[in-house]
Amino acid sequence: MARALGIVVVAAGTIGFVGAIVIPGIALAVGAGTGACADGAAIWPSARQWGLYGRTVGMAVCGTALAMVLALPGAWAIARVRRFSHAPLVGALAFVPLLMPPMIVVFGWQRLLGGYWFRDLSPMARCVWVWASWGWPIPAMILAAGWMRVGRSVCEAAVLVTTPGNAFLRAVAPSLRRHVMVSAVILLVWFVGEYSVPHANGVFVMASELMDTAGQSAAGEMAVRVLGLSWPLIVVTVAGIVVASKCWPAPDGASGGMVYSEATSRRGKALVLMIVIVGVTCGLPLTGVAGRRALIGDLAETVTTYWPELLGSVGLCTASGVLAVIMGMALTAGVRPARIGLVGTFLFGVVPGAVVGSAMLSAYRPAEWMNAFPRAAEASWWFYGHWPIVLIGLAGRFAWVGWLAGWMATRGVPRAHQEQSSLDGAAGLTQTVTMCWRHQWPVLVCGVAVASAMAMSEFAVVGVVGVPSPTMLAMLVIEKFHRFEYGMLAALSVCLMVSAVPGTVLVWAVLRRREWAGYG
Amino acid sequence: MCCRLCASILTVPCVGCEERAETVVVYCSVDETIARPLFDAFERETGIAVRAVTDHEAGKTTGLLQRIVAEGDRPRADVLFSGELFGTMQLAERGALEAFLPEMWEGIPSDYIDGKHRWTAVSLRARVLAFDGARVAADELPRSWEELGDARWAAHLAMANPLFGTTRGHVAAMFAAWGDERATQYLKSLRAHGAMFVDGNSSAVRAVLDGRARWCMTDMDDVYAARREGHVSLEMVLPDMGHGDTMWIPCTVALIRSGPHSAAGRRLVSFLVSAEVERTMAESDARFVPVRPGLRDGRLNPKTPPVGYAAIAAALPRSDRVVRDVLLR
Repeated sequence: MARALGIVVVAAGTIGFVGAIVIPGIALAVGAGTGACADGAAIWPSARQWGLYGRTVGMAVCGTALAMVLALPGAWAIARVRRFSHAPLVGALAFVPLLMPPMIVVFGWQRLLGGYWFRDLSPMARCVWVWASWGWPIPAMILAAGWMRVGRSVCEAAVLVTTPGNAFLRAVAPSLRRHVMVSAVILLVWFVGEYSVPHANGVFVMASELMDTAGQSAAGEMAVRVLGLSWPLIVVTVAGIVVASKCWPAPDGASGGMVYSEATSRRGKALVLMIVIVGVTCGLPLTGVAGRRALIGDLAETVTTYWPELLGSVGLCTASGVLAVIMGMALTAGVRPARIGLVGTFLFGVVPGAVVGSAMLSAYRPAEWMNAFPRAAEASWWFYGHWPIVLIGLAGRFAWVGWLAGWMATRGVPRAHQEQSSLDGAAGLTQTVTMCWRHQWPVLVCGVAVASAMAMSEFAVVGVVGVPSPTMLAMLVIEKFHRFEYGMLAALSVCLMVSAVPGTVLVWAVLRRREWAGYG
Repeated sequence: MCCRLCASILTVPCVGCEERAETVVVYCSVDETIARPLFDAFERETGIAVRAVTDHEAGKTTGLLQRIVAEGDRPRADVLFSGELFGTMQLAERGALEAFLPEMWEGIPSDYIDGKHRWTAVSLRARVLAFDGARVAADELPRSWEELGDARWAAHLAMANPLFGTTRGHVAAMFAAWGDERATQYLKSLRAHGAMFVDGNSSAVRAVLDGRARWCMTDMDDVYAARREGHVSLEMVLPDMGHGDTMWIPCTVALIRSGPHSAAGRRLVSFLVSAEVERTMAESDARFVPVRPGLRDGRLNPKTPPVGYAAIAAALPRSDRVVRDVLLR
């Protein structure tokens, strides 16, 4: 029974992976290759576009640097509680900014401080600030992990012979070099492809250019034009993934075991610090969005007007989250996770959404030869013109979340337990199903919630693919922003925020459970 | 509402559900805020569910037009409800639109109906120069669009990407009205003097509100939208295109050739070109100006461009090429 279930999940996940990532990726590459042969110049960005690259990378570098600075106190707070999983609330709080759509953070700051310094900041500086205040949990978690494994013991040894400051600079910082590098690469790659924050701040970046290009390209030339423009981004992304995987600190049994218990009172201080950081970077802008006297009335009007769209968006995003996690489970079910899965899922996760949308259109726009097979052509046209293409587009975009969930579920069970179950006769898929997936189901559910929340705020893929129904919430939010309809904008933003709540609660629940189960 | 629910929600879990109820698919680049009440009214009146694919601010009409072209002889949509005219005219020339004279076209001047009945134009918007009245006096602004190329104005200008939406048609109108050489020189002057290019008309308005630009080229309804939400100091002037009026761009309604729900599409087209819809759009927050002279309140009486809309549509490929070469290279 367990094996049969495993086979079904792996088959479904593999089909999903092929449909959402492999075929679109190949279609984009082939389309670009074919078009490039016809128009060699198209694969080389113009001088203005190279200038946009310069602006984009410059902003991303500044955003990364600022996020690293903001991450330090957060990393300290997480590390202070000994292990990430030993303070579920601290861990869950660190996730909150990541689950908030960055565009909502922009609206929040604009509403809250629009008449003060935020308005006077240059738009590029605003982007840098919003990216940093949104993305800091990523380096915070990675740095905290490094601090707990290595930095702490090094620090405590070093302070025996020098001052704490010197100890940190000369002994601890070098030992965390890899963690810093990994964090910086992840953030940099993410910011380079991010569309919504520059769009909301009126800054034209490479991701904006890609959206424009996808919008004005005819069917046959979309692949070549989009890929022609984005290949430097893809090169940067692939290089980033390679650098990050090379730098990823290898588990060190000796130092990994040197963990120190911490007094409960200090956990309390860490929690307070984390609340302050999350409050400043995330709570304040959200207050700016939601803090309207007429919010209740606006919410009522929004729900009355847009409830089909709200339900449709939630349904489609949840389905895409489920598919993303099933894909992740399939890709990580083996003894060693499939490398093509790792590269494919992360590549689709970090390239600009317009590239993913264009890949979907390139793959699923029915070819003329299909007209010879009317039934197949009709099915193909239906797929292209309706919700399934959005579903797989979003699943492909956030497959990396599913991959992480699958990986955590598979690796979350202690090796000793797995070896014991092998001795008891369970092996392969049966073992994966019974020991990992069944035991770690909260991790998988959490993955679904996180992927769904991120899909709710995805604009670029949905904007490029565009189907009649449902109109996605992210599209409505953009529309309201551009029509200056602040009431509806606030109400729809609150709906997006609410969509992040299940993810946050599930992260908290999973961390609690892992602590209880001793799998921290 | 029930129709919309069926169309929007039940189709999610159920393949082919929409075939059970009568539906019509419309590609719509008119703002959702304006279009939605019209579609709701149509649904109430006819019981036909309207499923709309809307655009996004950056892609605007161009993205939907490319989609129609890409779908070729198997279109997904029945009706195009566009926020501008010239893309629709290009689409008609490519054979993507079906000749159809809607029932309720009475009162629309012939300038606004295609000679082959492939499209009908309704509800005009003006191209305006918007500025913050708290920082700039109206008499500081140029009186004509051509003067805007002068250094003292171009240096403080924000405008949307001229490859999209109404800005695209406006620039093409300059090519048609002024000739290629003058228009190219104009664009070069904008570029040389540092005019700011942003991704959409509303982004241009935001640039003015933020103080990053002193004035911007945009559509009349963007100014009204911003004013309605409290930006009361935002004002506008209507510079001259050379014929004593600014550029006015109508919305267009067209029936897509071989659409899957052709009969329902015809009913929707007839509804959207009706005087009732024009009146509703005129009374909306966007304050469109009807193409039917009898529906106007007398304050604004748009003139059609002397060169004709067809000449402007014909200028689009040339203006697109120059925009790419001069502004976007």
